[in-house]
Amino acid sequence: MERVELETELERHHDAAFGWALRCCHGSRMAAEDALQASYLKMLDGRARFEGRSSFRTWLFGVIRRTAAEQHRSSKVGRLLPLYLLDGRSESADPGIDPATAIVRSESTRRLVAALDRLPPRQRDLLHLVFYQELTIRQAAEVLGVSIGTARTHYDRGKKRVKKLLEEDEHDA
Amino acid sequence: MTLENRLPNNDPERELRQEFARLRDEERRQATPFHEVLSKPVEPRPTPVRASWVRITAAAAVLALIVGLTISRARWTPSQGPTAGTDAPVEIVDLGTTSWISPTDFLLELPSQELLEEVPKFGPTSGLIEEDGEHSVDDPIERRNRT
Repeated sequence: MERVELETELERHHDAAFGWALRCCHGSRMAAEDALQASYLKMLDGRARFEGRSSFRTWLFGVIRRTAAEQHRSSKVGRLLPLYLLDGRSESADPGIDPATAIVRSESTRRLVAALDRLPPRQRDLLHLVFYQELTIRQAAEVLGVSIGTARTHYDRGKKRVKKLLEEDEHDA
Repeated sequence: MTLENRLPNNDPERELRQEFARLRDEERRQATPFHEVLSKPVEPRPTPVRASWVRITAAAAVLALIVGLTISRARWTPSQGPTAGTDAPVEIVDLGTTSWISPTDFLLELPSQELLEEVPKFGPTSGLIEEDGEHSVDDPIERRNRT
């Protein structure tokens, strides 16, 4: 795929990619932007190459997920190593949520996000990919690198759990 | 047509889909534009060289710790004891000339223990009176002569 063509495709999927990056970075907008930028650069530089084995969107989400995980790991190691601090890196690598740039949410979506945050990561990612991104369970399994059986199990459990959490939240309110 | 209108009424996941659709709409409205993300100043990342140096330093520190512990353990062995290597005079005790009595030995003593330690004596005795009123004779030879 040519660079211009690739850039056009990335721009077309950017909104969906932003939502997925936000999910992979635990709601931190700054971390999501960093992960997204690193992912785009990887793709445009040719470090991540689309081979056409899956859909473009599935591949894009897979790259974003891996990049976000790498950045999360490096920021965790960075906090532990004094050498890293001496290097003059700012705190912006921290995936914590900055109130100034945080996504403004309505009450109902805030409840949904809070319920999702209480799910195990696999279940949370599966629900996001199926309900938010409207992927099939098979495509979601490809993004997460798990078998379809595993994905189906996580999907069913996650769906039941999030429904229960939302009901409990509604009951408490 | 909105998503809510497109969903069938009997869909058991309808509510969940609606919640996610609202979340998606909210986040898309606030998404950072594509070109802005791409042209953001790139954060300096630790280079692979530095990362490898950090790993090598950490591995060397662990190795040094293990070697140090091994050497310190090898130096102190139980046969040598904690005073090994000092010039303190060593007192030699001759075990053949010493005796030791346990302070709880008396607990092992039995009543009338002297009976068990002495050999019974055979021979004429006096002072014992038989049932018929005569002196008893313990010596069997004398007893036979009298009868």
